[in-house]
Amino acid sequence: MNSVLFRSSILVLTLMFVLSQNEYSQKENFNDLLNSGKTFTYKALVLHDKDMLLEALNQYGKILKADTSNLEALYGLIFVEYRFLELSLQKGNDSLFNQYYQSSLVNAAKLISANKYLSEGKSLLAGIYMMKIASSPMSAVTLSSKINRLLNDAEEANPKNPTTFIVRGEMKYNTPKLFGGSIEDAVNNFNKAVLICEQNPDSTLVDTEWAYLESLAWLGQAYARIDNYDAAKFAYQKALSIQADFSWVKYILLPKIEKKEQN
Amino acid sequence: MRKLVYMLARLSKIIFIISFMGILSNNCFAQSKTMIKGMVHDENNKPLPFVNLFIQNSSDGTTSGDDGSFKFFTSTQGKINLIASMVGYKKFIQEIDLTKKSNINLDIKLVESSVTMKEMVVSASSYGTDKDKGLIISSLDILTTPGGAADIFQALKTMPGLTQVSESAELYVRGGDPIETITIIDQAPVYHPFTFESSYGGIFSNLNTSVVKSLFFSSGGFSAKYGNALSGVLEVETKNLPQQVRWNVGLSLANGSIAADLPIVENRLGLYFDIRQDFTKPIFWLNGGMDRMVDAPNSENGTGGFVYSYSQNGRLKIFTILAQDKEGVEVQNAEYNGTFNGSSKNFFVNIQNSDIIFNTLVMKNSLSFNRYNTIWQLGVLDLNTTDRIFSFRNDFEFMINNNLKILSGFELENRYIDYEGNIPLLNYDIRPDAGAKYLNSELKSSRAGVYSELQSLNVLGFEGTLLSAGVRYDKFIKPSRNWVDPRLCLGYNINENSKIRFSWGIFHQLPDLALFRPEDGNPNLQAMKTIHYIMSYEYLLNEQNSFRLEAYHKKYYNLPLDDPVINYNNSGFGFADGLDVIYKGDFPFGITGWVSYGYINTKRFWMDFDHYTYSSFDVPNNLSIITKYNLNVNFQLGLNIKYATGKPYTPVISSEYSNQLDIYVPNYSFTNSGRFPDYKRIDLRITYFGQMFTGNSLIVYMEGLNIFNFENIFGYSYTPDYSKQEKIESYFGRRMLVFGLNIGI
Repeated sequence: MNSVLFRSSILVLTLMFVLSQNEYSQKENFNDLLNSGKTFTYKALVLHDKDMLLEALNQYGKILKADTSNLEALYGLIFVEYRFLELSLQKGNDSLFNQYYQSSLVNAAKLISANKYLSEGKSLLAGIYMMKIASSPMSAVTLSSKINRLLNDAEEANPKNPTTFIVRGEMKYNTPKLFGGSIEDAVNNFNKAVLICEQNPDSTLVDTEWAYLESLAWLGQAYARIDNYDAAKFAYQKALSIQADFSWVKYILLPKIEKKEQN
Repeated sequence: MRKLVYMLARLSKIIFIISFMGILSNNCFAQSKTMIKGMVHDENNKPLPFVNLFIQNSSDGTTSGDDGSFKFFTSTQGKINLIASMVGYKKFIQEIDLTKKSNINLDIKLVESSVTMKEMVVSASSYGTDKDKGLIISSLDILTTPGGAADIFQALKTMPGLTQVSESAELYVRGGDPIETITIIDQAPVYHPFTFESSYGGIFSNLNTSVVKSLFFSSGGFSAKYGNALSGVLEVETKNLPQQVRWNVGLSLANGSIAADLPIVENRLGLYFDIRQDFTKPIFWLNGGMDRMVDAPNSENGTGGFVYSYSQNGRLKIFTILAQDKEGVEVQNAEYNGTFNGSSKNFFVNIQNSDIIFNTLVMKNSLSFNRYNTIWQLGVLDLNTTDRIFSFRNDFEFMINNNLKILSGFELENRYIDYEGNIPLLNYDIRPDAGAKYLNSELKSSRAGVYSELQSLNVLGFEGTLLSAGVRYDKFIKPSRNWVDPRLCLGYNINENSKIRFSWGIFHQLPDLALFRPEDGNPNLQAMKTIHYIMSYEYLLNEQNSFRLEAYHKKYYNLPLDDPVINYNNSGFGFADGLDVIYKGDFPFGITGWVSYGYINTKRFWMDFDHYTYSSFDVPNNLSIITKYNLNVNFQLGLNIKYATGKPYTPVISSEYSNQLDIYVPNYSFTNSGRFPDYKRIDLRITYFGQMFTGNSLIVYMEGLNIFNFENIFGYSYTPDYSKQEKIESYFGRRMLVFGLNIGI
């Protein structure tokens, strides 16, 4: 009897070990996929590469296929979808926009309802709505109050999430003055994001380096809008000192300023 | 053992070498990197966060933190330019020699740039499109207010302190007559900003929202900048240089419009316009009411601006309004049923120049001309009135420091009003063959005004306090009158979100020039006068959510009063006491909007009043609830609920037959002893915001005005013997369905 018990125990322990190893290796695998997703996203944004963005989407998709409750992967997926919206607007590709718009909304709602990453989820949802306004300016009438509310909630949930201030800054930058836009507010929000990235960002989800680069690029644009070329150039050069291959700044924004200065 | 000693000796050598290398490298680092740190603050030593500090033409720099401190390292050597930059402040540049310096400690003071023309002290009772102009009423609020027809004046009427006296767009501010509120466009006075003006007031403004950059409205206690106005001010700033080409086409049951923004030379030269044709026939055809129309109201309206930016701060703007309207409406009177034919033509042009001189002085000048002509015909009434206004205005703003600002300026105005035609001799006999008085007179008024105002924050070092103290002097050369009006506003910021304010001021205004007519008025009338006392509490949670509570007392003096000998004297008086409250922002379930309530008690003894009684604008309770709910990204549902106590009127109590006139002559009860039923109205609007094709915007809307068809009365007509009353409804006040679309390219 005792030997049966002993054998059974051995078997159970072995099974548990095998299973835990399997779980461990799955976790390992998830972590690898997550890191790879993050790397692809970062590189895609820096190099403005659509294929890498698709690859990032693929990595996050693999995790979510196996584990639908993986919030880190869900955040990564929404972030990439949000970037696809941006890309589709740059290319004037309506079908690409529509392909990602509904899905990003559903995913963002899922992340918010999980309650763990409220600030990150609400900031991204605000950003997605902002893209919708960019694609269809009249939707500002119905969406701007939603965006303001989401960003206020996001800031309250986590005052050190740089994305909140980047999205708010973009809203202030892109909205006409008559409807509440303000370059001064935009600059202040981008600077807040810069400071958070330089000091102590408090989000395990947000890629601080990218947030830092993006806030600097927007800060430069806001300064350029009011013809403060010295400050704009500083912001761009600072971004390039962090990431020399940042193509948006390197090939578009900085040369534009230099051309204006020459004129 | 020996081996071990040998190994230890080797190890200590290695450690020594590594340590030496470390010291050397640290030394090298210390030699090549210079630390630049310090503090950045404003002129009052208040730390400034979010200032960008950097070395010119480099990536070395940082942003100042919440406490104004900053620190960064640079490997640049030699002479550099350190720049500190913040929007709203002058750029700070300092040359620093970094040679052989390891630490630089700086104390940087930024000076506010005078280019920012923010109101430093916002007086009580202020509303504006900018957050520095008072409680925010944005263009979006104006455009999406149900029932407001995207009209600035109709949207403003939903604010507390504005009483619902009629369906007209005219502003009845805190018990005041509409003439007590002045409209200013780009510094120039505009006395007739309405279309379809009749004795019921103008229905809509002729200032199209698409040409407006910002607006400021005050319902009392306003700055010394504004003169010759007893109750309120509406100041509109039109658009500046258009940045990109935009076209907008609109079509609805009530109007068709085309508007454009056309930059000609980037950041230099541009123009914009908005041309509109109003035609009410389709509305009356669909909703009924054509039976009262002989000539359904229609109007043409064009507004436009031409802007030339000749330097970074210098700008020249020519803005013009061209408008005309016409209407023919059946009118029933006891003694006569006939057609009221009204028409008007309005031309306004203003040249405005704004610039910064001596780097610190903001200067704005405006030179304007306005010609307004109206013809009113009903029975014996056949009056042609032409109002011409020439004005010049100059405003200066000088920022002494971050906490102290001086505003000053002067204005000159010449106004000529020509009356020509017949007016009825008796107000109860308007028949075509009734007795009439022939008018053929030109009235002239020339006014010069000068003002100065000091605005200060943290007064005498008391943190959170604010003060605005001003005085203005107005002199009418013809008729000869002059007065001095002091104004004061004191405030205290209780905390970051809430503030209290007290405003006091003396306000003068010349009565309607028609009362100066020698034939039926008094050329020696004096200016009317009010004193405002306002206490205000405001809580501003953020840009979207705000609450304001105000109590006011307004006393009237020198009001014109009927006089049997000299037609009018100045012994009239009155008062208006009230409470205004508004919450604007988010409501539960994703609803946004505002709720405003105004209570007023106002009495007067003026004009033809037979005793001291309720003013004709005494509407004690005014409630407006404006809510908007987004059904989804494309659809918005809007609701405008209005309730107001009925306004007073003077009823006819009996009549006597006059053989001489061959009509019944009414006997009136005491002035304003009757009151119309309460005013109720609910407007519903559903709007689709979307796209027709890429890059274009499409708005389609359907609006139900007065959806429950509440009977709102603005007058009574009588049977010929005055034995029966009949209700007069506003022809725009009945239940109506309006729909239309707007395409933006």
